[in-house]
Amino acid sequence: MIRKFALLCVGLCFTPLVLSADCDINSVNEKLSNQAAYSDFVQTKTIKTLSRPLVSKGQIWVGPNEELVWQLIMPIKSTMVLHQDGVRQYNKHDELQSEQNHAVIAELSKVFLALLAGNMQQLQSMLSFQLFCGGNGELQKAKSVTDASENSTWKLVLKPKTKNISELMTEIVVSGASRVETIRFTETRGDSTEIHLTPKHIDASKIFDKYFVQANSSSVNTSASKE
Amino acid sequence: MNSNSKKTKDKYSIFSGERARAFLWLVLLGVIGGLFFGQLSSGIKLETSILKLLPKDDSDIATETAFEQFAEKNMRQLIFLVQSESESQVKASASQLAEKLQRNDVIESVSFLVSDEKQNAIAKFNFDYRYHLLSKADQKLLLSESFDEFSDNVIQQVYSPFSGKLLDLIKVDPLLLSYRYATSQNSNFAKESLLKLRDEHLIAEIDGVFYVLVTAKLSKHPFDRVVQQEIESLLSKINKTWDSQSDKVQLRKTGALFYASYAYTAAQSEISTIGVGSLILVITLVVAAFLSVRPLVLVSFAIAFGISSGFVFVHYFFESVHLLTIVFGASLIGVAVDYAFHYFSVGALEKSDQEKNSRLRKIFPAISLGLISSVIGYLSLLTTPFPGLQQMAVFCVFGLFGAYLTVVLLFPIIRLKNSTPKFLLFLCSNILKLAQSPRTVWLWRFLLFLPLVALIILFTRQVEQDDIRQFQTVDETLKQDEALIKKVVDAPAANQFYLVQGESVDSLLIHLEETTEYLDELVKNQVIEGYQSISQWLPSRKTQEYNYSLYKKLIMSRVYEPLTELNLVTQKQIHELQQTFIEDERKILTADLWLDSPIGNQLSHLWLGKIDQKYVAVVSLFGINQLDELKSFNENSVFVDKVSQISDLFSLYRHKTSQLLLIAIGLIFVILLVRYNLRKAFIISSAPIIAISTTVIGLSLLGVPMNLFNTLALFLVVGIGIDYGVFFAESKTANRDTLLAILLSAFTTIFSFGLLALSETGAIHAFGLTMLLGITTTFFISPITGHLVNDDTRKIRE
Repeated sequence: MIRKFALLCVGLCFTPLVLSADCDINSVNEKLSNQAAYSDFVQTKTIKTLSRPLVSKGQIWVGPNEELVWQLIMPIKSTMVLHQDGVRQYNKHDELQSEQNHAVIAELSKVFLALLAGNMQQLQSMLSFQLFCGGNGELQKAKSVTDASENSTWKLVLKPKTKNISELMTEIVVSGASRVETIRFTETRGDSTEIHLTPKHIDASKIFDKYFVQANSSSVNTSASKE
Repeated sequence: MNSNSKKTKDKYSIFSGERARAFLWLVLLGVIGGLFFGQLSSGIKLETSILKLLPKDDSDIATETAFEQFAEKNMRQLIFLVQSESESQVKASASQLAEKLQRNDVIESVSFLVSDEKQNAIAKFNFDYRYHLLSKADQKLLLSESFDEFSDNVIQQVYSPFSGKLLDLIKVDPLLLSYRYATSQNSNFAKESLLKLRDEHLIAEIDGVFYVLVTAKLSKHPFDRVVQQEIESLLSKINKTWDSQSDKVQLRKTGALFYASYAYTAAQSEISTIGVGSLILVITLVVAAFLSVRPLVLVSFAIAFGISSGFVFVHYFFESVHLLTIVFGASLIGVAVDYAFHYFSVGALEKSDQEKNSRLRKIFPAISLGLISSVIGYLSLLTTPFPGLQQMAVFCVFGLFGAYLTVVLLFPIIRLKNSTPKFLLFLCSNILKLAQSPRTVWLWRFLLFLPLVALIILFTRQVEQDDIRQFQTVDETLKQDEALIKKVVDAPAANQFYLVQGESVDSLLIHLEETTEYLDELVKNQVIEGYQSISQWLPSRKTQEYNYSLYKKLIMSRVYEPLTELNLVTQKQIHELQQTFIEDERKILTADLWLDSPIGNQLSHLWLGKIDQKYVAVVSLFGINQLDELKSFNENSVFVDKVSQISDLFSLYRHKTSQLLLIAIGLIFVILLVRYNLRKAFIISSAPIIAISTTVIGLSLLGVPMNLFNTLALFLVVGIGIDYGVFFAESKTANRDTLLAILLSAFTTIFSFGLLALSETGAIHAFGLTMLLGITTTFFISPITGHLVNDDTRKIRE
């Protein structure tokens, strides 16, 4: 009898381990993979040389074919389409301004895409992961979970593995609770950019399709057939 | 020797005093030798350029020199792709290759990494000249005074998550002019090749396989055998090292050097098999026919003397000898041996030494007439304005004459035993008997129709092939490598481009700009996919000044307000920058400065500098879809198609040669009339005519096209055919000796040149086949015509 009771206590003590599975790498990965396709963002850039931070607002749409639309609305309208090979830029009149395929840009684009579209494989190949858990205040490195609080916040610190990215950024911190809420880039220059995301549960494919279709017809076509 | 004292009354007085004659030959040898050494000391000039075959007035020296230089630069390039499924391995291996190449003496430079340094240099360059460099798109914006676009773009960039480095740039270039220019140049002109810049490497990824580009430039000529061997051994060492590694690494290569090297090895192997083979056959034949080595030695003298005289006199008159002349001249051997063999075969029956005078006496008219008719035939080539054909004429005339003189002057002094194996004589007798049957006349009359058939074929079917690509020996591996490299690297057309010139550097740049406008139309119409011109990166002075004037309004306007509001740049900084702008007005980008820059370096092969008082540059073409539509733009901007140009030249030569062939036969006929009556002359001339007709028909049936080389071979067939006919005519009877001479002559020629038909090289194969068909036919016809020509009992009744 007593033995059974002891087992029960031990069992109860350890249940929290099972219940508070919010802050382990698997569930964080899951949250990253399952982000909304359509979100609003508020971006705050803190630049050392400028007295005030730069705040901007816009929206993100994760499109098909590993492409992502990053559209700035305030202070100026401008749209960027991120894809595996680089970035296409559109001005406020939605005219294609430039196509940048430089290696560094292409890599940055890949990182962003992976982050926002939740491509775990790509992320893991380009960045190293370190998970921190805890409520407000002190965040401790997760060795074992001690308590299951409902607002179990987590912080994922990603450090770049490739030379191109590490020259520009020291780390990317993704944090959130029940979903991904904030992404913060810290640059080697000391400047940082913080993006706060709010998902919108609407199908926005019609709104942003033009940036994909338009891209195909107006992209610079210089493929050469050989003589 | 005592008999010599009776020579005064001898009808053939020139045949006595054979020692004197031999001495004369030695003197001539001395003369030739002297001339040769004279030329050797002042430098033997061997001409390999195809251009030198053009008639003098047609060649424009500037264009000629220009594309020789451009071709030279292209030819020294070696392009490698290192291939592997492992990205780290491919980079490491490429480094190895680049390093090994760099250390080799025959390599002048290696291009492998686009270092950070280089990238920074390019950025700095764009920054220094930003007030004079302007993209077409921005030009439009400035003309419409849409200045807001510039500040908007800066804001956009600043707020983008990627802004990073640009913030520093904004302080010194607040409207990001240098950045705008660089971006537009990259998207417009940096070819969208599969190669991307990653970690300083130019690397492409196709279907999971990685390719890294390494290019090298030779310091010496790629056709130098030593250079070829150096590179081949370096590469084989590298391949061995790579074979032992775990991750498979492959090397792909292309470049003129590899094609030349392959052609050389192929030729070498053919020379050893075919060459040695034919040499053995010829030696065996000659020795077996006379059971003595002396004829062999003597005929070698005749050949050597003939070829040397030919060479020496061509060099004397033309101050250089073209490779084509030598190639053709070597085949002259086939004709030159005729005289020697006639000499040896005569008196095959007689065993007496004292008859040796009579040998020469017997054949003298025959070989002299043979010589004269052949020489007249070749002299017709002198009438053309083509240096190549003129050289061949001189070579043949002096060469044949030299061989002839050797027979006349030197041979008599050497005692020859006459022992031809009986079976050979028996064979000759039997062939003659066959030829004497009454049916042969009808056979001959039938054969006379062949020339008609040949003419019909020539006029109705497309039997010619002048495209010089048929002359290329190509290795499959090289072909595949080249195709892959072209796909990955996106290289321009190697043989077609525009050559633009100007009185001064700046007028050259203006002409380049005009040319690119013209080419833009061609791109729009999909005649070509694209082009590359220096003017895309280096605007003319006029354009730069115009750009500056457009920028002025922008720089002095109030476009900066949104930027200063955000404190991206201060008002003070703006004023300073405006000041700098004013000062920089004179800061024009010159050609020298540009050529020194990283991009200038990369495109330096397009800059040919000063040639013959003019400045010349090349515009290279990508993806030619409609070659026929490409023409010269104006007198300053000429379209060059090397392959077509040379092919056209060969075609021209071939046409001329064909015409002259017929004229030559006509002339020979006239010469023969001097000595023979109409009937005999006709019979003699019919042999070569039938022979070349048969050859043309035969080649057409075999699907072998007529090109310049086998047309020239027909000249030889004619020369040989006439010789055989004349020998028979002079021998008064269808003589077994004469037939022996012809048999030997024909077979030695077949063994030496007919065997070339075994070659893999298109041109050589065609040449050999022509000779084979021609000589074989001539051999079979000659007993028939020989019989007919001597058959005085036949009256012309029909």
